[in-house]
Amino acid sequence: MVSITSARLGGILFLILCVAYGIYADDIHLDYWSEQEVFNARSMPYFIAVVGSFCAILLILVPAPKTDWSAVLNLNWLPACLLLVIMSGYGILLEPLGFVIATILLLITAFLVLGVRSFRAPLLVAATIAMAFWLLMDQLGIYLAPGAIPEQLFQYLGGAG
Amino acid sequence: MLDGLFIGLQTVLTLHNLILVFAGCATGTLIGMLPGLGPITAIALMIPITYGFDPSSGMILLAGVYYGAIFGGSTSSILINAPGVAGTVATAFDGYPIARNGQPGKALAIAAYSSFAGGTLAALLLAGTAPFLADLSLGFQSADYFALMLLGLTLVSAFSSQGEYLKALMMTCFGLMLSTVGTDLSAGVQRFTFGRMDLIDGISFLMLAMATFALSEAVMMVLQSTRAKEPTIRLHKTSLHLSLPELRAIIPTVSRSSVLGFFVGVLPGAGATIASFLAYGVERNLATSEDQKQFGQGSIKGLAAPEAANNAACTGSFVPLLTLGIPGSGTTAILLGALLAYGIQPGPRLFIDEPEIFWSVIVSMYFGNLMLLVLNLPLIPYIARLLLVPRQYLIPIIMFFSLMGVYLVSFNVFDIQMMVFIAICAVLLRLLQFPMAPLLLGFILGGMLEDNLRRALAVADGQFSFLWDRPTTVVLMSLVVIAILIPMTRALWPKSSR
Repeated sequence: MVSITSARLGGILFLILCVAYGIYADDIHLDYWSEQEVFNARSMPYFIAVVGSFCAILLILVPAPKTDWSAVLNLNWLPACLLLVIMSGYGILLEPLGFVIATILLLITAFLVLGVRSFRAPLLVAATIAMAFWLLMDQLGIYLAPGAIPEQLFQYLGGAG
Repeated sequence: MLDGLFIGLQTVLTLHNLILVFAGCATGTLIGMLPGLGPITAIALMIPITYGFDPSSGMILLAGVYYGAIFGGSTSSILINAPGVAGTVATAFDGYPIARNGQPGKALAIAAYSSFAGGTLAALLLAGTAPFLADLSLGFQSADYFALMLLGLTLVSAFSSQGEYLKALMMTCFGLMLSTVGTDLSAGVQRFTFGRMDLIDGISFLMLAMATFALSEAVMMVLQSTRAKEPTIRLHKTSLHLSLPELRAIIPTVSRSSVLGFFVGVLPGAGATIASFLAYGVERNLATSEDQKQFGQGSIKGLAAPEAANNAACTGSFVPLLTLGIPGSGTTAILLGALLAYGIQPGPRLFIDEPEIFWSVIVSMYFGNLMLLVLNLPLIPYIARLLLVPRQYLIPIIMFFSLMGVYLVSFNVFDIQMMVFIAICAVLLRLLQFPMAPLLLGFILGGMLEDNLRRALAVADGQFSFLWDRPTTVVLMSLVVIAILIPMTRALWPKSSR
């Protein structure tokens, strides 16, 4: 039976990618004159798709050392995946919450996910980093928006006051 | 050459640039010391800071970060047996045993002296050979550049570790694919943008470097955090002193390894890792049978050889970058990206058009090595305390700086999402043991490769005869064929090649 090695699995994934890439290369819009040229905007992508597919097929066919999948499965997947979700969340929350609040949230949740048990130390470290970075950027003349939600909150509080 | 060195000295010997050399070395040491984080990550993290500087100052800082990171990697190899980068793996063979024998200060001092000697000798060799090569390559045409870039890409794959050739080649193709995303400037048409405005300018090299190195390193550290750790050696009240006989013993080793390291570093794709292993092997073979027994147990020659070689190789890798505009490694690829971001086109014209950048980088290397020795070495006991900072705090901070490094350039949150997506792909590819450096090299060289191919075809009236019209192109293309065929044969028929 053919075993699935890391090279073979990578080869299959890359073959799919190269074929899709080659098909999408067809969608590159060319005018009549460009189509007549020997080398146009589609040429390089076609060339890469062909060479890439060839390499991917070789990766699938050439025997490679067996991969110890149990070592891969036993990695610390949960905190790593949570970190990626937190980073993506940071991208979503940065504009509405503003730099300072979003950064404090990013750092605190990441510290907690990685196993910091107390809440006070992470809060202190996160707040110090976020404020220090914000002040540094302010001094360098780089504007980091306070965020839509805090801005509205300040406006509301200012109006109420 | 003397005029050039004078220009370089004038540029570097300003208070501003000397501070940058020191800042670069210190920051590089700090980042490079963290296991898993190497010079590529260190440089990627520092590039956004350099955008406000003039190109010479930016390059001086980044060059400082480069050898600072290599030195930092040696420090973690010696103190915790955890090399920051592949280039310092050989350092741990004898550096860690010396440190464990109660002489961590001596091990660090040998590493620092050898690095300094290696870097200095290589900087002199660079100053001697780079202008000559730059002059030679002034006659290069688009066809030669196309062949040269193809050679750079194939050699990087050819020099990848045994059994990884096809994977490296595949990653080079992946890098080339990513380089085609965005607007094709010569035709003005969009490619692979999927109708998204955010992709019209293509993928930023900084984002790709940060995601594939800094972010994915951070995630890999979390994934592999169950690994057993070697005990950290404390540096409290340690002696950094070396005796005269010890110095005498390592001088020939350092000289040989420096020259070897430099020439290995010049070869595209070879770099610090191959140089350090090669120097270690050469010294072990040259040693007396009595000395040979010491190798692996705490030999000072076994520590000095890879240290001198890896630093010399780092300097050597600047030769193809500065003279031909071709990066020979992942680290010089990211430096090339930085130069392009400053609006500078590296290559033979750099030597003529921007001599202050060309020479200031070379001169700053010497001063950087001097600073590592004079300022960094005494500070090592304090800098090494960074190794005691818990990972739970360190990893999120690295993540934050990586994300900010990219966000502060574009102020576009789409870049953060894109970075996370690329980091996920990079982590999966790393788990499948696909190397990352060829991806970066393919990405950086992709655009230039396409431009030169287009130009060469235009000059040759659309005929592929440009590949054999000029002797330079023929020589380079023959090397490309050799660089593909030899490792390909080994990959396809592994048993017959043994």
